[in-house]
Amino acid sequence: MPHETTAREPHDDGPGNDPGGGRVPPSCGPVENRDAGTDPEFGDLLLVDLLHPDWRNFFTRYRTDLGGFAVVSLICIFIVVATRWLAMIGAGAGR
Amino acid sequence: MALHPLDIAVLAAYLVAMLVIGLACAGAVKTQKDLFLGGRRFGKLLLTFQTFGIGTHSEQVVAVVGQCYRNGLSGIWWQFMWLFCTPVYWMSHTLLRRMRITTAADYWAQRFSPGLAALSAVSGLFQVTFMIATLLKAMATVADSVTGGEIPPNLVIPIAAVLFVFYTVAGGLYAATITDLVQGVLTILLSLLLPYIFARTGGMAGLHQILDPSRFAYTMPGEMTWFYIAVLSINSLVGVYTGPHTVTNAGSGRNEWDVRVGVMAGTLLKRFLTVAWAFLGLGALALNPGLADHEQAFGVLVRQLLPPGLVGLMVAAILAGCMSACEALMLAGASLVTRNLYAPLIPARPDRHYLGVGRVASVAIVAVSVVLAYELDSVLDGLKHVWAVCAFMGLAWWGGVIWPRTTAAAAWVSTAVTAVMYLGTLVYNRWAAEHARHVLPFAEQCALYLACGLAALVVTSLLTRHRDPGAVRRFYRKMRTPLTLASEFDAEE
Repeated sequence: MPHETTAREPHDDGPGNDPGGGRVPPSCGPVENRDAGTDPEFGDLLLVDLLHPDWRNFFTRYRTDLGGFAVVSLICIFIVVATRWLAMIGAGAGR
Repeated sequence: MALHPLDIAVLAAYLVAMLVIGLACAGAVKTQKDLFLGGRRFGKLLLTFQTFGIGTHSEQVVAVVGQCYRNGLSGIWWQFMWLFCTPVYWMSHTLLRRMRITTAADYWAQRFSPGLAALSAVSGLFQVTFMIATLLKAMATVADSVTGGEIPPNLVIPIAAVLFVFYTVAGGLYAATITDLVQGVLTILLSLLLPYIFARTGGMAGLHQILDPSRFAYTMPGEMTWFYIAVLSINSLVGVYTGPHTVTNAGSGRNEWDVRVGVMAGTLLKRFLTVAWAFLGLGALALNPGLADHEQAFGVLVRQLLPPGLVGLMVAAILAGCMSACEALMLAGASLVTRNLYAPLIPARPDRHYLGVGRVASVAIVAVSVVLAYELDSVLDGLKHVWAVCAFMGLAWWGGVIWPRTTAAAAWVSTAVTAVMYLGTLVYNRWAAEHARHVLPFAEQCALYLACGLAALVVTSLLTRHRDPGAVRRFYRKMRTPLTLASEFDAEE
């Protein structure tokens, strides 16, 4: 059986050790999910954890990814629907 | 049709402005990071226009207008096929920034092996050279169409190439991105024709009176099917991050949040403008039915509707739409040559030395592209090959991020299987065409090579081991460490 190597191994030194003591430089935009730095088994990027996500804290840990994905999906649906609606403006005018 | 002196003046003013920006930014470029990534200091506004500039080309406007002229509103899907990938970009571009890499090949070196990094660099260089050539060719064709042959295509290619090489080599990604901002605004102006069209046709009600109702249908049975859209969307998503310019784009952001917002704003801006281009196509059909070549529809509209001065502005916008993409591609290619091909052979030189190499590589890449541009016959056929080549390593790229078990051996096998399957379908299609058999459409080719490549990736990963498990552990540790946390990875910034 091949040896699966990931940051999930117990001896691994993950960001949970937080070598910087959780320092957050100023003016760097919104702080990414801080939970990411507390558990070496998971991060805050859903795609990295996609095959083994943190189900227990799913909506808090991945909130930036999930929220943005939902908003952008809605905008894309809006573009498709609005284009159709724009195209039909004046259709009742007849030929 | 001779260009009006006012048009020539506008065009000249644009060209001079680009040169001045390049010279003004020259002092800011002191290191490789400045040249290739703008010092990783770009905020949301610059990233928005950089994304828009890299992703939007003049020939896309012409293609959408032309397709909508030919097929009605359903022609919009030639660009909207990427719409379904857009929400994923929100999550995936951040991966590139989190990796803290400078080139696309750096990822392969960190996650897999130096051999795959070299393969990625060579593949990326091929993509960059081919894409610049395709863009230059397309730009010359569009400029020729808009000016009615007033500006010879053979002259446009070298002039544009010299111009963007000069300001980008001098000012690096700083100059490229500031010009992207100007060029983005100009590209938006390509939609300026819409009010003129509505004035002529009497608005949307007038369009409905002139055109057949079928022209407003949203689907195109037989040509643009849901299967075609779905497969090409998946193919583009698979291959998007093997393109070296995506690292230039995401890597130049000052933090992950700005990358998310900037990339998304630039991408959505393009999506909204695509809607305007589609209505330009319908307007062109209403005003000029019966054109022999539907791709001339945009050029005819420009000549027909715009007053002197605005025609020059439109030509400037077409040049801008091409050059903003070319400059990012050129820098991405130069960074691959410098960091992933030259530096491993001649290491431990001062940064200034590699900066010089990067500049020379930039010029060389564009020189090859210019020669190639004169040899390209079909722009669309060329782009299809680029899409396919992007996907060759794409499955392994995603595997390396999502599945820790993905090994270097699996990446090699998957890349090889995908490439062989693609070439196999090309050979089969040639045979099928000669023997009157079913020729595989491009979407079926994509589905076949992606399925085989994925199977090869999974099976080989299950059968092989990591050569350097420590490197894989470190990679995932980095991917779980946000930029905002001080960490052992800060030195890679």
